[in-house]
Amino acid sequence: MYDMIIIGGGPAGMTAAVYAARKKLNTLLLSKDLGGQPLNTMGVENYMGYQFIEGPELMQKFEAQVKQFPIKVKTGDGAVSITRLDGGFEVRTEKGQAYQGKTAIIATGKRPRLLNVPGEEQFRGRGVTYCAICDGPIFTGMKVAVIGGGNSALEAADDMVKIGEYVYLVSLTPLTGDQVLIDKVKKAANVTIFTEHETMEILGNKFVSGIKVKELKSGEVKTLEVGGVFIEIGLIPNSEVAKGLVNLNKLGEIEVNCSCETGIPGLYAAGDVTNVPEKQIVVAAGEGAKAALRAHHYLQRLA
Amino acid sequence: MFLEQHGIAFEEFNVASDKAAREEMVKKSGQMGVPVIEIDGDIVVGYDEGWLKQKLGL
Repeated sequence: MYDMIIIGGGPAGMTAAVYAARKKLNTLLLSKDLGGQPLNTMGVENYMGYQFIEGPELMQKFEAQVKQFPIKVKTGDGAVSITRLDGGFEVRTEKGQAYQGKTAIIATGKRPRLLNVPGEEQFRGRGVTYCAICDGPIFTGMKVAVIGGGNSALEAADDMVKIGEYVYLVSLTPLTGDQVLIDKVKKAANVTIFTEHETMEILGNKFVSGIKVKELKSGEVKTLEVGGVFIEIGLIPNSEVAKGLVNLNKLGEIEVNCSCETGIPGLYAAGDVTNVPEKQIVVAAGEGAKAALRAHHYLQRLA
Repeated sequence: MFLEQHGIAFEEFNVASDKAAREEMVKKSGQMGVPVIEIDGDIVVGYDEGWLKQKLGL
């Protein structure tokens, strides 16, 4: 049995791993990938110590720091469930593996929210993307649609007006992002903004060729010809793994106290998957550290 | 990074700026996500270290 199983390999999970290693805890880090959400972040200018660093490069540095310690790292397999055992927890994975730990830290982060319309799944990676920052350049010179009305959608639209031929910004609600960004996008010559429009369907053959949108007030349906659809309608927490075991808030985030405790002795959560107020790399890293130290404290009292 | 660490020679194409490379990538992989890695005619979409290790016998 491990002293600690860390589920998730983003900033929170990797930082927890380093703290656990420095306490000489026998630790397993279990994750689909190492890096998490910052892998999709082009520029980071607010992680202290770096005036500017690309997200993937920062995560490579995290990974190198983890790997200098004797921590067992298993990637390519995500956790699907956590159950309580005598003296700890059992974590089961997608690939059918089971691992036992005296303590566990859930640091599974967030993932993009889906639109749930016909064509979305079919054309994922064939014109449908959830990461304008990573995939935007592929759509250079093309007409694209950005779905959403918040800051992520506005930032995607702002990027795409510069490199795309034309941008349709389609939002179900009035635009909700920062006014500075709204003004910036509105100023572009090659953008049309459709607010209070519902995206009905993503059309195409092998690749995306258009979207069908409906104006909420009039019910009028339009087809927009686009080669790319950027879905930027927010993030949802990867908290399914802990469902039924811990309390989730109405956003689906794991509720923790300021020591990253979930209420179940020995089970902690850290970073974007939790109700911690700010979702930032620096915050997630700090939360990972807190969770690992708290777990160490708990293990000391067990012994 | 991984390839460099293991001393594997490779050629990198920037599909954002290189239109011909982009078209080739879309044609070969049948999709538009990056990165796409080709080894001896086999294609993988996304960064999959397990696949790379297996393919390269590392």
